[in-house]
Order: sequence, then structure tokens, then C-alpha cells
Amino acid sequence: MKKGFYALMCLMITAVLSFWGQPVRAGERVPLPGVGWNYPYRDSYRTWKPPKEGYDERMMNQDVIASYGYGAKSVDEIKDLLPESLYTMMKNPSVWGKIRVNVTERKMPKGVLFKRYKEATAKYRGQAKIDAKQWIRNYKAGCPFPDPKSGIEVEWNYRRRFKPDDRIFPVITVITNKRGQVRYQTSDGNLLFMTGRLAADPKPTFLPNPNKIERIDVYANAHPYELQGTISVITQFNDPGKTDELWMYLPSMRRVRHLSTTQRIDKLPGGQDLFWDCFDTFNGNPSLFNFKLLGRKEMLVVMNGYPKGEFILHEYMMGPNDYYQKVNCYVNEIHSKDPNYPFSKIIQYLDPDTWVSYYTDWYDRKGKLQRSSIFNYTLTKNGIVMANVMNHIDFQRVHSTGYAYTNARSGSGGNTYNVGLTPDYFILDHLRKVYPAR
Amino acid sequence: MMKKFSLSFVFLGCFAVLLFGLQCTADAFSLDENDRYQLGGYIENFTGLRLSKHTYAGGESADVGDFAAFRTTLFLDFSAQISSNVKFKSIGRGYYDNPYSLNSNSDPQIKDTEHQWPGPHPLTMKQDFDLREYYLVISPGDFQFRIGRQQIVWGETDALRMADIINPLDLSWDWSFPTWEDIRIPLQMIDMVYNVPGSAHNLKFEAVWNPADFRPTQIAPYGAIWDPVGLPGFLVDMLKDQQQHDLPTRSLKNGAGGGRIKGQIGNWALSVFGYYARVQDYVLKLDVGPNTINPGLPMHFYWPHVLNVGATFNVESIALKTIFRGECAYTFDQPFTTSAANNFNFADPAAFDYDEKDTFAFMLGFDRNTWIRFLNDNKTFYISGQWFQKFVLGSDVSGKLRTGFGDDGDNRSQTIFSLLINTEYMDGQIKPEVLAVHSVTEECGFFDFHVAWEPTYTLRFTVGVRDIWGNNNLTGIWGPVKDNDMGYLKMRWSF
Repeated sequence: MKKGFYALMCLMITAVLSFWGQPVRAGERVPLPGVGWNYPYRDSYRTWKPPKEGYDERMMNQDVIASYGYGAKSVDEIKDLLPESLYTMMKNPSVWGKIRVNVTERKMPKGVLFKRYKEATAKYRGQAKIDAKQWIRNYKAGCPFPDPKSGIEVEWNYRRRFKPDDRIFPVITVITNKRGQVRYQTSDGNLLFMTGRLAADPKPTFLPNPNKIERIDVYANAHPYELQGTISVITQFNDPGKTDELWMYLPSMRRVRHLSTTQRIDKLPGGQDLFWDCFDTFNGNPSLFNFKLLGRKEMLVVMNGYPKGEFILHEYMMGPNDYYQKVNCYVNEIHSKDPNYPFSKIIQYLDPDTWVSYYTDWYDRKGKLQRSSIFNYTLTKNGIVMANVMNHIDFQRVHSTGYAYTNARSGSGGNTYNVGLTPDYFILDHLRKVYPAR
Repeated sequence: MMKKFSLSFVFLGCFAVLLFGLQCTADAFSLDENDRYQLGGYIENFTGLRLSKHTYAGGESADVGDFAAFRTTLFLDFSAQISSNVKFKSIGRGYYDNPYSLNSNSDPQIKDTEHQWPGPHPLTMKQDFDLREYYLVISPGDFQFRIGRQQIVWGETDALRMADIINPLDLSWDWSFPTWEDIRIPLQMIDMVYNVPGSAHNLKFEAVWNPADFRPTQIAPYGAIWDPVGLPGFLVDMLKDQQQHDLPTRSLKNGAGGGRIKGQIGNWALSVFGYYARVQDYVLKLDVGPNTINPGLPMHFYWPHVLNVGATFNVESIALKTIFRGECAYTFDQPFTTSAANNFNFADPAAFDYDEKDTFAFMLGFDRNTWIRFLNDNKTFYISGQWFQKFVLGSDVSGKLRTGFGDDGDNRSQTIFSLLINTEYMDGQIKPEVLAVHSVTEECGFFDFHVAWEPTYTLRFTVGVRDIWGNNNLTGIWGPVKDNDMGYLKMRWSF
């Protein structure tokens, strides 16, 4: 009887130890404790919902080849496949929380849109040029420089990446400070691209476009109440001499204000880590920077991410347990021409097929990592590459701002793409009608 | 004993807001799963203590340390998206505001807590609930109609008025210091906007019609903190009665209307506007006619019609990293009380009429986000300055009209400067702001410094101090309330 008891105890201890200490087995993605859609407001963002297009079902239950990081194999085994930012976070879970990399096979976008992007690349090959101001000219659609030879060509490939023509994009914003305190915002981040259009008419270029608009973004805040109805319309121009234009409707003033975007590294209000130059991981005016192509490097990136946005409350990483794929990325080093720019260099990692940006690490003037933008992508059923979670992380202040989409707010159409938005959609009077602005 | 009780009362009030806030942090109310019906708002307590002594015209005084405000506000904001082209909006606001009963017995009490003056349906001073705004937004095609009680704001100027003239102000409970959204008096209006589709110049036409809802500027009754009249209570009662009697009725002939055209040429955002309405601040003349309520004080009040036309601009200088903005307004036939009428000089024929002069005003301002890294390495300072200038045109003005300008209130020009600076610390949780406004011509103005702490997005504590100054003649915008220096605490929980 006693022997039986000891045997049972040994069995149990062995079982616990083997579960506790061993890496997660291949083939499964084991949930991290506390992970979920931890959003508190009582509104339509409260539950995660897929985009109208539906997600590519290959994204959901992927076969994991190996897992690294928290509760899995040592992150040191994949150190060379990660940017400094992500490696630093995974190496220090006591600071940055639980993060795990689940490696899977890469799957390319399905559907007609990516095919059109490649066809446009072939069709307009050789037409696009870069002028003396480092600005692209004669671009129509597709990838402008399919075999890039320089950093500036890589930069323009990124700016003319594979993307939807427009989008309605409800997101939650989760801001976590050094003490692990969390604040939430919700907004719709809708946008329209005027060039390189593949799906919605007019294409490939939206005409007429007398003001040389490149893209228009709107951020319409839903919560908290103090921000509700604040609507920001940002217009970017296809002109190196023009800065972005920001018009904001402020409900408390009942008025539209024109605000400057010329302080490019001034963070957005409310404690966000986002500033003008780091939108989409990097949004500096190409004519004001020097670009150096460092070459190609195999990296672990999230191109086929788990569609449902996840995060752990009081921790810093959106998508902490995502699917990663090996991709031979282009690596671009970016330096500002402004000697007073507070970042000494910016390292950007780009997808060689779609040209989306996975990581952008920003180094301070002493060469120390200061901040990073880490974007995770997934695929919709019709092959759209969508950033389902986005992270902007401040390494020196231990602070992060994460964004995750959900198909909320049917009043504005819900999360969807290529719906045929026009510049008139972005008129503030129209947006005040769509969103609950007073 | 009374003071102790008062402080306990304040403490309990603040504690209640705090408790409510902490319990309910991060809860908002969407009334259906698609966010078509939403309810938001806030509860706020505003407690102010006097930092200067004030002696009322009747001889009563309010001392340093007395309560200057104890106002608890419930603000409710309801939206209903009825269809893609029809939306309904309503905003209600209720408050309990009674600092007077908390003070010692020596200070004056409001003689009439029931009504401010003047106004067709003024709110009570102590407590009330007002469905401030309710309007339908109907959007057929490129048109948009807003129909109902609402605020309409034009122009580029902050904290002063030039194009923002459609809604009158309620200055009875905190003068011009709160967010103007809170002190504008909403009016029953129809606002029609037409955005020209596909316009390369973002062309927009707007027409506003206020069929009959005339309301003047509202000011506090005698004995209230913000009583600006400077006359003994019995005299104020007589004036108030007369003013109530003379107030224009709410009829079609007292309506107002105007239009605005906005557009963009290159980097320049431009607008022109015109608005025809009764003035919101009265003029008076002596009148011994039969309609005088008090024979001992034979006068009448008037709110004549004026036409305001003007223009605004807004442009960004990339080189200077600065937004420049400006506006100007030309007012036809602005009425002024004569100095003779104001002084009850029955011997002067000028006292028996008011005068009308054209006026011209302009504002030039700038907004700049500026790094001051030794003070804040993480966020710029938002610096916004304005120069506001107004002229009464025509000869024969100085000394004869009560323009409110200058040391004696009878000059023909007014010059005001304002400067606003704010920034954020600790991830936007600490927000200091300073606003200074000085009217050079009347040597009056104010300085407000406050620091807001927002531990969450739904809870905000603000501590501030406000210094107001003016000359002995109490002229200018802030002269009449110059003895109302205040230290204050605000606590707000929004949902």
C-alpha cells in the first residue's frame, strides 16, 4: 500500500515536472495564462469579431513546428532570427511579460488581390523613378522596384506595399505604463489610398486628385467619453514639400481645429507611444532621411498571425503568443538628415513579397534601443494582409501602446476593406454624422 | 462650527464622486450591441474658495476663504443613430450649486435664487436640470440639416468672441472661464450644411436660421459670486424688472440668421460669414414714457439688430512649424449706451437715446507645439497666443459712449492679448495648463493655472488657482469680477 502511494506520488511529480519544465510540443499552440480580449467598456468593441471578409481559415489552427520563449524553448536559440527589440522583451519576461514565438510554415495570400499586385508589378516594371529629392515619380501600381538595389528603393517599396485601397478599421488601443497600469481607447482608423489601387474603382489611381493627396486617414474616437466624438482627419500628400495636414473636430470646442504635424516625434496626447514619424512603423518624409540597404536576413515574423487579437492585462505585448514564420526580410537602416533628430538610426525589417513592415527598431543618439514598432499580420479570406495587432513599445520607459482590430460599430460599416471610399467620406461634417460627436 | 460642517459637506461630496468613479472606472453605456444608442456623460464636483475679499454694492462682504463655488453637475449625452442618414442627439445637464449656504452668516445671500436675469426661461441658480440640447441630424445626399436646440460655433478665436456669436453666453455661474461648451446657451435653430462633392477646394456652404429663439447674455443676480452689476440690490431689482419687461418676445420678428462659406485655397483655409441678429448685451436709454415700470427709474432696455460680416483664415507655416489663424468682423450699427444715459443725466438730451456705430475687430493668433526639453523631454508644449483688437468707428465717440473699452469704459478701441501653454507629463496623466489674458486698454485680465491629474481616462482631478484683475472703474470684460480670485478643485468621473 505504502509502495503504491510512493509510486503514485513519483508519477504525479514526474508528470508535473515534465509539463512545467519542458518546451511546448510541436503541433500545438498552448495558450498563455491570462491571455484574451481583456477589454472593459460596455460597447460593441467588447467582444472580438472577425472582419466582414472573414479570415483565411489557414490562420487559425496552424501546425507549430517549435515554440520559443515563455514556457517553451530558450529564446537564445532564435536570437539571430529576431530583432533586438523582440529578443529583449522575450529575454526579460519579468519586465515585459509572457511572450512566446510559435513557429509555423508561411502561407501566401490567396485570392485575386495579391495576384493583381504581382501583375501590376510586372506591368509597370521599370516605370517608377526616384528623383533628386528621393521622391517617387511615375508610379502606377504594384511594387515599384521589385529588385531593389538601394535603401531608398526599399523604402518606396514599403510605401507602395501590397495593401487594400481603403478600409474601415475599428481598433482598441491599450496603453500600459511602467507600473502595469492599463488605459483603453477605442476608435475607428479608416483610410483611403489614392495610388496603387487594385480593387475599388477608380484604379490604379484615384482621379481627379488635384491636391496630390496620397492617403487620407481618419481616427474617430468612441471611448472614453472624454474623447468620444473627437475626429482627426490626416491627409498625406504625394509631394515632398508638403507636410501632413491634420484637422481635428473637438466636441468640447464644437469646432474644427487645424493642428500642426511638423513636430514629427511629438507623441499623440493621452500617453500613447505613437508619433507622426512612426505611423505604420515608419512614416517619415523620405526626402528628409537617408536610407541604407543592409541586405537580407532571415527573420521570424508574424505574417500568418492568429486572427483574434489577444493580450495579457498589465503586460506590454499585443499578440504575445502568436504564430511566426521564417521570412528572408529586407533590412533597411534609416538616418535622419536633421542632426538634431533624437534617433541615431532606425532599423526596419520588410517582407520581400508584400513589402509590409514587421519590425522597426529606433535607437537613441547613444545607440541604445529606445523604442520599437512590432506589427503582426494575418490574412483575410480574400487575401488581404491586415495588421491584426500592432505594438509601439518604449524600452527605456517600459511603456507600450498596443492596437488590435475588431469588427465593431456596425454604424460605420464595421471592419471591412475595399468598400469604395472617396475623399468626400472624410469630410468632417459627414464623419460627425457617422460617429457620435456632439 | 459652521465652517467645520461646510468642510465636512465638501469632503463627503468629493468622496462620493471619487467612490463612484473608482467603482465604475471604464464602464460606458452602449444601449445596444451595435452602438446605435449610446449614453455617456460625467459627474463633476467643482469646489472653489475665495482668495480675495469682495464687498457688494449693498455693503455686504465675502471674505477670503469663503466658498466661491460648490457645484455638482450631472451631464448626460445621448445619441441615437436612427438610420444611416438620421441621427438624434440630446444633452441634459443638472446641477446643485449652493456655496452660499456653506459660508459664514456674514456674507450676502442671493436675493433671488430662483432666477438669473434676464432671460425668457432662465435657470435657477441653486439647482436645475436643463435639456440643453436636442436636435435631429438629417443628411440627404451632400446636405446636412441639424434641427433643434443646439450650439453652433464659427470662427478661429479662443476665449473671446468675434465669429462665435450665434449662441449667447450664460455668465452667471463661472463667468467666461469654463469650457465655452458649458456656458453657451443653446438655441432652437436650423443649421443647413452643403459640402460640394468632389470639390478641390473643400467648398462648404452653411446657412443658419434661428426662427424666434432670442436669448440675451445671462448674468448672475445680486449677491451671487459672479454678480457683475455693481449696484445695490434694491436698484438691481428695479433694473431687472424693467429689463424683463423690455425683453424682446420669442417671435418670428426677433429671429436671426446668417450664412458662411468655407473653402481651401492651397494651404489657406478661408471662410466668410455674415449673421444678422439682435445683440445679446443690452443697451439702455432714459425714457419717461408710459411703459416704465418704476417711475423713479425711467429707462428702457434694448437689444437692437446688428449685422456682422467677417472672414477667417488658417494656414500652416512648415518652416516655422506654426499654425497661424485669424479672423475679422465688421459690425454694422453696433448699439452703445450713451455716457449720459449711463450716468442718469436727465439734463443731457443724449441720455434719451442710444447711439449706433460700426465696429471693426480682428484677431491674429498662432499655435505651435514647441520642445522645451529641459522642462519636458517627452512631450511638446502647446503654445497658443492671440492678439485681439476692436475699434469703434466714426467720429464723436470717445467720452460719449459706454463702449466698455479703456480705463473709463468710454474709449473707442480695445486691445487684448492671450497666451495659453500646456503640456503633458507621466504619459498624459499630469496635465498642467496656464492661460493668461490681459486687456491692455482696461488693464484687466486673468491668469489661470491648473494641473489636472488623470489616473485613468475616466477620472480627473484638477487643482487650480485663478487671479483676476481690473481697474477701479470695473471696466473691460473681467473688471466687474476682479475680486473673484479663487483656488479650486474639480473632480470628474466620466462614463
